[in-house]
Amino acid sequence: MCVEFYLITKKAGAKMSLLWKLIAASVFMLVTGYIGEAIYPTEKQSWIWGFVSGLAYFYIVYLIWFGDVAKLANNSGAAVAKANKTLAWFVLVGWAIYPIGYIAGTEGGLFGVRVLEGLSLDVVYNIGDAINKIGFGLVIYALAQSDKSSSAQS
Amino acid sequence: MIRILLLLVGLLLLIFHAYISPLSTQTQFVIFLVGIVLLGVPHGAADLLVANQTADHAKRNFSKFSFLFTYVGRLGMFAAILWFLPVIGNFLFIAFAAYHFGETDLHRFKTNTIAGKLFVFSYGLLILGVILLQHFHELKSLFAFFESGRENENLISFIDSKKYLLLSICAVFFFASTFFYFSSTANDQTDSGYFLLQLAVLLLLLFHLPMLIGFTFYFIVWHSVLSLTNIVIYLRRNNVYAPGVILKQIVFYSGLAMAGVSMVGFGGFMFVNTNTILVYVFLGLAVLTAPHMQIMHDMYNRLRLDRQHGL
Repeated sequence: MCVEFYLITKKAGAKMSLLWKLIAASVFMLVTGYIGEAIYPTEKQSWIWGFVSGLAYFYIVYLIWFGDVAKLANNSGAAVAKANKTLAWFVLVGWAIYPIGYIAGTEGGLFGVRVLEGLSLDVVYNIGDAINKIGFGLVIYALAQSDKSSSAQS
Repeated sequence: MIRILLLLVGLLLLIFHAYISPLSTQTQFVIFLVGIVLLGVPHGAADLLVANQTADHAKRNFSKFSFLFTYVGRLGMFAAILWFLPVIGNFLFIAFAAYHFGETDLHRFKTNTIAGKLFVFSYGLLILGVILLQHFHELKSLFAFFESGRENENLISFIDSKKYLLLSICAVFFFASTFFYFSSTANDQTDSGYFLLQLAVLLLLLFHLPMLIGFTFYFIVWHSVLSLTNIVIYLRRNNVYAPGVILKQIVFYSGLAMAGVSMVGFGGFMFVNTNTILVYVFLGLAVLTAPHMQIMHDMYNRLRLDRQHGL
């Protein structure tokens, strides 16, 4: 999904370094989250790995909302800026479903309380995937359509 | 660049401790004391020059006597609060230290607004939270040396039982205040956001190192080196102070501070055992850093104002 941010801002001059930044942050987020979930799922360890994974997620949020991606999107015209804003909301809210899965799936979880104990990790992640991947795809599709019609008009 | 080098030092320390040879309590203590003498105390020893420079920049008159009077007054006042109201004193110290640590790490951001202050405070609180709450069992044994620690056993046990919840509150507070801060200053930002990745590595190190060595790494290796770098750059602006003058000042006041701490120690109870020394060194540091934090806040404030005016 991070690749899509690079692709939609490429027209405004996004460089490969931005793509690598997004990929590196995603990998860091996923690997540290995996360590907390699968390798050290104790209350003590899951807290720190979950939080560090959260920081990488927040770095992506930062790039999309306030950083390089936001600046490039704002310079790419109204349609890209609007699509970027929608995608940014997906990342901020939609991606937050994954930490909920993390809380459900690890002993003690992120908040040190077991409010979601018993809830299946897979259910939460499937809901997250359905919202984020389908929603993300639809936004990109809408952007491509609007770009196509504006190209045809000109 | 300097931050990456410091993080590498921390990583090497962690690898050495975890995989090569675990550092004994005695070795950790020696590293801590050597660090305090070489970097911890010296980073606060240039306060007089810093305050003088800040006054010059603000075109205010500077009186050495009134500076020292206020400085020692603040020091005494904080010592009195810690003595008479230890619980409040401890919470106050954590709050001020959190702000000070956050301000040092994030000084390049425009944090003069309420959103900025929350951002800085939540960052420092998170770091202190990981150092103190993650290693709370080690801290608990130090509290037991104090009468107030024994009297407030219920509060200490409550914090112990809720430490991960408290850490999570710190984390949520940090994410929320950071998002709020950047939302309110979105048009002014030119930062790459790397501070978030640095914080991730920093917290991993502090979480996995034992409390004493983690505190040594953060307070001495990270905070003192970054502070000293900022102080030297600030004092060297417009070539007001020669490097020799800065060095002399740092050596003199460091010597004075350490002589004071040693006198207190020889006069009474300090050199009994490692834990007792540790407790009083922590207390001494807390009292010494109370006026220092204000001087540094004034310096960073000056730097922010200068940047705003394009100086």
